[in-house]
Amino acid sequence: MSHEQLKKALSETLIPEYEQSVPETAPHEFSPAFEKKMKALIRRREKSYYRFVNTAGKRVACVAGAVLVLSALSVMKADAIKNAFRDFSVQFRNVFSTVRPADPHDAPKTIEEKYVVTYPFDEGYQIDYQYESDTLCSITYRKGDTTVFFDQYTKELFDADVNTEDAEMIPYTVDGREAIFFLDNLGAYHLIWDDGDYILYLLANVDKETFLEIADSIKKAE
Amino acid sequence: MITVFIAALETEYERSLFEQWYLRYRQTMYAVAYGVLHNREDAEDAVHQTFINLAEKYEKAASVPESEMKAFIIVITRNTAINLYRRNKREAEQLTTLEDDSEPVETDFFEQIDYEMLVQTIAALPKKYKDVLFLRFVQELSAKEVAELTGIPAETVRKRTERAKKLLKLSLERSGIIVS
Repeated sequence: MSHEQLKKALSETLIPEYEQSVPETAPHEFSPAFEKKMKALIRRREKSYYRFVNTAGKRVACVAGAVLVLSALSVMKADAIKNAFRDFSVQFRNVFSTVRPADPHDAPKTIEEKYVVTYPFDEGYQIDYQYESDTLCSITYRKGDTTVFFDQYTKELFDADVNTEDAEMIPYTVDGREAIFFLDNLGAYHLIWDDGDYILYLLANVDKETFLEIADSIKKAE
Repeated sequence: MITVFIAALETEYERSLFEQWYLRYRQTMYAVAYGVLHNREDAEDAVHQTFINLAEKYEKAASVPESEMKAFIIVITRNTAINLYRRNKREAEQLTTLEDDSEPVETDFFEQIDYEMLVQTIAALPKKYKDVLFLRFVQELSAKEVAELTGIPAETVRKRTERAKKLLKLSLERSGIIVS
């Protein structure tokens, strides 16, 4: 069905109209909180989490979207899922599920104790990315197509949209606290947990045993 | 808000394009959002949400021609801000009072219309109809993609698109345009 004339008419009418519609204002000085959030978003956007080669051998951008689907291995009713994440508020959405700490208010506003990954990565791994601020510490290890991400957030900053399409949710606790642990539909494990003061997020496309060994190696820096 | 993506980036250019958008358009986006929300914090939230939406639909946004990018971002920002306003005020989406013909309008109809008259009639449409027609027919986004970029429910986008076409057609017919 052709709509070339309609498209042309819409372009020629609306593009100049939109550009002229912007209110004249003095340049806005954005708040420090906004700048911080945007900086983190830009850094996240610029990171390639891991490269996927599809069957045609091309790199693809995989942005998943669908509601959470329960795995046959760990069947949980919807209420049980929501109750399992007592430390988190999880809002299931069409594109991603949004995960926030249930109670961020009493937690430290800055990172005062840093966590580090002490897992003995073999020589093939290199640190691909590292970032530190008052509210976010982030490190990425990479070996070929294998990538391990570890982030530590203040609770106030943490507000993640995570890929839960066809996710296999796995009951898991860290130091007696229920964590969000699942295998996503692209073969990566996600582990998000609350240590009381901070939110910690491990994401890696490794096998489960290795993933849990890496998770166990995460400790406060001495 | 931190958003976690699974993405593969081809080049350094792609890595910095998102940041280019931020540096180039943030003041414009803030002005648009503030024009809707009249609140500094809410306007910043709307700008931030818009960038999150752009990041989620990065491939689509990156395919918008450079000459159309500013207009595209203005439309997305405005609709994100309106959505935020409605969420804050807990207002339901108000559907138009346009009578609902069960027959959808075929876009072929507009190919037979005098071009200048079509342009004038488009210019007279309400903003929300202009926006949806721009996103659906100029940027060729699906209703779902528009929903993901603006926060407007996909079904609302579909209905609004249909109403926009009907209003455009009705306006043309009332102007005495006769389709050959």
